[in-house]
Amino acid sequence: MGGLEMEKEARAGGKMPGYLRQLLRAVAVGQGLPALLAVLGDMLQRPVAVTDAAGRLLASHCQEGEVAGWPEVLALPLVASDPWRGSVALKGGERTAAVIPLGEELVQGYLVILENGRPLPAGILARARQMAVAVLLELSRQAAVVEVEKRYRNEFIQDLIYGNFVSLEDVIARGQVWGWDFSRPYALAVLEMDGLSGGAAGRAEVQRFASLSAHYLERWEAGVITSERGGQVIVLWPAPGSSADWVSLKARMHSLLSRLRSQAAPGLGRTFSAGIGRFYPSVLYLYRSYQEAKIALGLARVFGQQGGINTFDELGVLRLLYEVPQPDLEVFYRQILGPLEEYDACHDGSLVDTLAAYLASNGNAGLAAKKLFIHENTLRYRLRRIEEVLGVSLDRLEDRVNLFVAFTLCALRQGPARD
Amino acid sequence: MSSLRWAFLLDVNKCLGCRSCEVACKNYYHLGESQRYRRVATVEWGNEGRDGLFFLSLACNHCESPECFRVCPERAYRKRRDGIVIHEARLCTGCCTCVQACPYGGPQYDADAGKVGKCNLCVGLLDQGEEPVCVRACHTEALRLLDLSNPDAVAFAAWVPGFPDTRLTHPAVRFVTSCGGDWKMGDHR
Amino acid sequence: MVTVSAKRFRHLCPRNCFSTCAIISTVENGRLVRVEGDPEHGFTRGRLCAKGYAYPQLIYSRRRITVPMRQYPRGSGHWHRISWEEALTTIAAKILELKGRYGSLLSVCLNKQSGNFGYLHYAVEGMFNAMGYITRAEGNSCWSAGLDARIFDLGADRQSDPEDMALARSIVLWGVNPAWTAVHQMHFITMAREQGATLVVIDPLYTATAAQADYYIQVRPGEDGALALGVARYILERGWQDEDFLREYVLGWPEFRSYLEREVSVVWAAEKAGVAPEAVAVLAKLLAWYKPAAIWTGMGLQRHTNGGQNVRAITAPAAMTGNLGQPGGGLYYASQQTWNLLKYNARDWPPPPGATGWVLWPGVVGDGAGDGLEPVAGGGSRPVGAAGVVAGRQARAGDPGVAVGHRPVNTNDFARQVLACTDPPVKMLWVASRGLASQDPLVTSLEEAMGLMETVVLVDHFLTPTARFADIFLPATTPFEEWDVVLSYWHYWLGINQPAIAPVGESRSDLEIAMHLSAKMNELSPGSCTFPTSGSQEEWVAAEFTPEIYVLADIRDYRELLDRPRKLAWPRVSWEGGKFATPSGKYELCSEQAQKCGLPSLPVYVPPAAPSPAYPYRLLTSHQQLGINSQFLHLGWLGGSERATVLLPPGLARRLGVRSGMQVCLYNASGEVVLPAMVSRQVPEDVLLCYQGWYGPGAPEINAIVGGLMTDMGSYKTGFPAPALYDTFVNIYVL
Ligand code: SF4
Ligand code: SF4
Ligand code: SF4
Repeated sequence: MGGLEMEKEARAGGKMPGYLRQLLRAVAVGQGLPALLAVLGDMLQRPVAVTDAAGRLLASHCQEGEVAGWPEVLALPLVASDPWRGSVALKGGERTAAVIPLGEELVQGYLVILENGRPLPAGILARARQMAVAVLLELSRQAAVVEVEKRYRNEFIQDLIYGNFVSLEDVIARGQVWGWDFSRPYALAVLEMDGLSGGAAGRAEVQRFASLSAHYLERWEAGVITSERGGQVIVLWPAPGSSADWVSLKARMHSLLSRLRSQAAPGLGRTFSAGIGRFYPSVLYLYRSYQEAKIALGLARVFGQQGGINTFDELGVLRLLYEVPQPDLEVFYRQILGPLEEYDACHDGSLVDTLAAYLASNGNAGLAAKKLFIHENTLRYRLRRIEEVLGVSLDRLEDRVNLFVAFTLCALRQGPARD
Repeated sequence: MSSLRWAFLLDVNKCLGCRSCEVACKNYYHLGESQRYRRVATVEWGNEGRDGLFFLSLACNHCESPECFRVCPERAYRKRRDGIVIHEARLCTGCCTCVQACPYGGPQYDADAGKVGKCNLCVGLLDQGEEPVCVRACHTEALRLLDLSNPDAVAFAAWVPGFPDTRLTHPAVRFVTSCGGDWKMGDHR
Repeated sequence: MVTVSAKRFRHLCPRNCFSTCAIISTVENGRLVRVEGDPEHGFTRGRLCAKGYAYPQLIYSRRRITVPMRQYPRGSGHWHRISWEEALTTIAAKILELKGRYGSLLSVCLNKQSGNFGYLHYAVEGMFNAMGYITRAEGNSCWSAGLDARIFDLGADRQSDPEDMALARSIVLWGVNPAWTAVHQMHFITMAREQGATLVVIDPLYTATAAQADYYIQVRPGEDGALALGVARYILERGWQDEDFLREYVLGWPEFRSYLEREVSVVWAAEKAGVAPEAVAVLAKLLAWYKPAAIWTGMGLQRHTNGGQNVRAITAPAAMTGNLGQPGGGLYYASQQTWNLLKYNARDWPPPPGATGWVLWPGVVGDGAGDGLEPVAGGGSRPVGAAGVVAGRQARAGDPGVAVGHRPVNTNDFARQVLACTDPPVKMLWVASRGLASQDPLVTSLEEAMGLMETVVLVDHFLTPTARFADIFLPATTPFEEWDVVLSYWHYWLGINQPAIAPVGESRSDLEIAMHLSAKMNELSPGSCTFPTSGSQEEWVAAEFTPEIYVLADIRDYRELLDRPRKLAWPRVSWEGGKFATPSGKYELCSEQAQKCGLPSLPVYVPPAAPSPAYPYRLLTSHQQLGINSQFLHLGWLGGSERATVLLPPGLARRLGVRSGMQVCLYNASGEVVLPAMVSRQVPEDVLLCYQGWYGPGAPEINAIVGGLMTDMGSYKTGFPAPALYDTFVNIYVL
């Protein structure tokens, strides 16, 4: 990209264009992004801004008298062409802009140049791309500092949520370094994007998700701490001192997470699911809350749900089931649904599916029949068969509960798919 | 930014089921008679006229979401930065809540000591730069250690038949598997 | 964590096992805390098998007996502690009394086998040699038929360095399960495979080793010969045989060739062996085109009435394709080729002058070793009297014209032959390194023979099933409490065994027992035993070393082995240049020696024993993974989760309505055994499988119904045929 051309130019002429020299000087003396953008904006005669990889605004510059109306977060496409042209949403409405990704393999941010109704002339664009190198340089310098800090932070949080510390005093003292008060309790949530793939692309998405969640949550709720681990975002939520307020805190967590979902969605292109652990009056037990949050999230995944906010203490029967040893579940399942499976196997039937659809429709025969593409009478006939084979009555609550539980187990006992 | 995260790697094609790893561990840590921190299971399978046999040498999997750790009322568990789930026998009262909770039979009760114990991934040896006892005892290098933070680690399977559900605890164990080696030419009937 | 006081010691595992591992123990405050493999040992490479790692439990087991005891009355289980003084006095007095009663020691019998291959343990034989001539259980229950087959073919039981199997391009594991019984070899096999070698496993059982194979061939038990002859025929049909090799180095090719052409077809062979004809083709192709091919013949397949013949048939295609005498290839079995490099100093002591012994008709002497080390003089043609007992008479050494020796009885037919000894009868039995009451064929027959004995002495670690018959129990030390030197029957490494801890309790080594008993004998009757009564164990170890072995190990003193084991500079390749040890100097497809022993001269097909309608299922009793015969399996660390079971194939189980965990009864004319069943795909149809061994107190005695028939070969080298253990047929019912 720009780097090579710049080098070529420097070597060819032995002299560097004045604007570049000016820019590099700004980087060298460490004046920061605003100063850099001022130089840039003046030279391009356009409003310019720099965002991080997640689209968060880092710095901007406008000519005197101009109001661009930059938002806090610009919803930019994830994989942009270089440069990318299109409209961006500003506070005052849509504007077209040229966007230059900063960084080669790993995009570290974007340089956004607003247009005045018509495309930037090719000469200006080429110049802008050369200058982007200087911005990238500054961005990398800042990122390196942030990275180190983030690593220490993450390590500490991991120690905290994995019980890897000596005493509460130790935790409190280490928390103070970051300005956190761990003498008070925290609640914990775990967020994870839905349908994420592994690999480098997935990594980039996770990073984007993590910085967006950090950005919003830390802004909306004072004292929120976020950290990323294994593709999940861990959120520590400062809590009032007693569990009496737990219900209202939970409600607040729910509402802010929902807000995050609607705010972050455009920039993410995906939904996310969340798990919330139970509340403990001391951070000593945060580790347990963390495990619970992951279980709440994991169980939602096992049952194929997406985009939900799942609270461990509201898991109900699922949690109970999860804690029963596998062999016992197996026996229960066999007792309740075994005869029906056998019947299907012998008669090439589909009674199991029929019953599943019936229960999933809350016992509404008409709905179930529609789902199965069969006539309601056929369904009723099959339900009678089912009652005969299993020796149950679908009108009895107890029988229906048992069957519901057995179907729930179906998901638990399937085991992971083989790749 | 990703840092070392230990996992066991078992090459199912190479594991002989010889149980050297299992007893080497017992011998090194003087385990109780019924305790086997590492256990070798035999998996026999057969379908469509083909039969197969393979072995799973398994210990504690140092899970990403360890159930043992969540349920222990004494906070006897912790998970180190390198992923090792440590059980601190000193804090253990032998209540066996973790024994019930672990889907993999990791923690095991020793009636003589009145405490639970489990594989701590030979953390004492590891910290001195040595390999775990079981890995060192393996005759065919079927059992090794793997660093999950290494991008190449995704190439390995996270589950094989015969291994319990991994979806909630996310065990730090990976497998090398392939079919083959099961072409049976005998036609005994 | 290693504390400051930790000390480390070197050991050798002396069990009847291919690996003979080098072990390092760690001792803290006088207690052995752990064992590990010795990384300096090039064959065992710092690793032990599961059994080896369980040694600490053997040493400190609560069930281990570490004081001398007497059981009264015999079989009652009432054991009481006695002193060594009392034990030795009782035994010595009994021996002397019997000597007075019968004018010789022939009424004293020794039954010792392979429980410990340490050279100092030959002091047991040495002690009796030094008293005079006794009755001795001879022969070998393990490998003798295959051994004779190899002698007929090759002239001697020699094989190449097993580490070189890593160089093979094809490896045929024929009836051997090294993943269980020789796990260290699997490293070299894996190495070969990583270089692209093809691994074939031929076994009636789908073993852990078979699970590793590129090709698994499920042969019918006892039909290995048919399969091998099919391979030979296939090679011949394609003209793949190595004509140059056959012309120069093989005797009897024209005869064998015409036999193949006349009597063998590939389809017939595949049908007999119960395999697909492609299996024959694959084997032929590998032997002929993927050289060097290593063919490792296991011991199970020679435990049949046609076992020796099967081994000869298996080696024939290897000779046809010239797979002999090259590094990486050749025939593997087991070989004591290096054992005579040590002196057998502890064993070879002369009897007191003028001792009375046994003269074999027509006046030849058994060699005394009975372990296949040296051929039995006049092998294969010893005169046999009633009950298969070697005929002879009592005579005094030095009588003109006669050579006297011990009176041999077949260890594999021990009870019957002991009962048949009348002049003089057997009245006292000494058992060492041996678990005859769980390992002998048809163990129930022991009852009557034991009834004859006035005194039975058992030297052991535990109250094994044999202890039921014993009057006096003498506690033996383990390898961790004594000096010793052991050689392998597989690899070329030499090490040394030093004591790590003081003997546990009052236990003593076989050597110490021999010295102390000799002292007691001489005290009661001066001159009655020539066995030395003093000397440190270490001096006895030193005395075993010869200049020859020092040269081969490149050391000047045995103490150098305390630093690390050494590999003997023994020829890596056996039969290099096609020079064989047979009378003709060639590989003998046609063996005159075999013919002299009443066997076919050619490796022709001999059918295996067949089941009867009354007992339609063959019972195989292979080696257990976690035991070596009666050893190890009973230890909690190993057997904790294992119990004696009978494995049934799924089809048979379905027919009988058996599910895993049900109790079933196996029975035949010899008796019955009740065991839990386990349904397993590892077992072929019509075959039942029980892993043999002693599973601990109260375990079922499977050998109550195993045995009865004898192998075709075995007499030539070890003096006696072996039991055809795998030709056992039973019926089964569900309890
Ligand atoms: S395998 Fe069991 S004991 Fe080990 S970390 Fe996972 S849950 Fe805990
Ligand atoms: S890592 Fe260590 S403690 Fe864990 S199973 Fe292996 S030998 Fe045992
Ligand atoms: S030592 Fe290695 S080959 Fe043997 S059972 Fe253990 S993992 Fe498998």
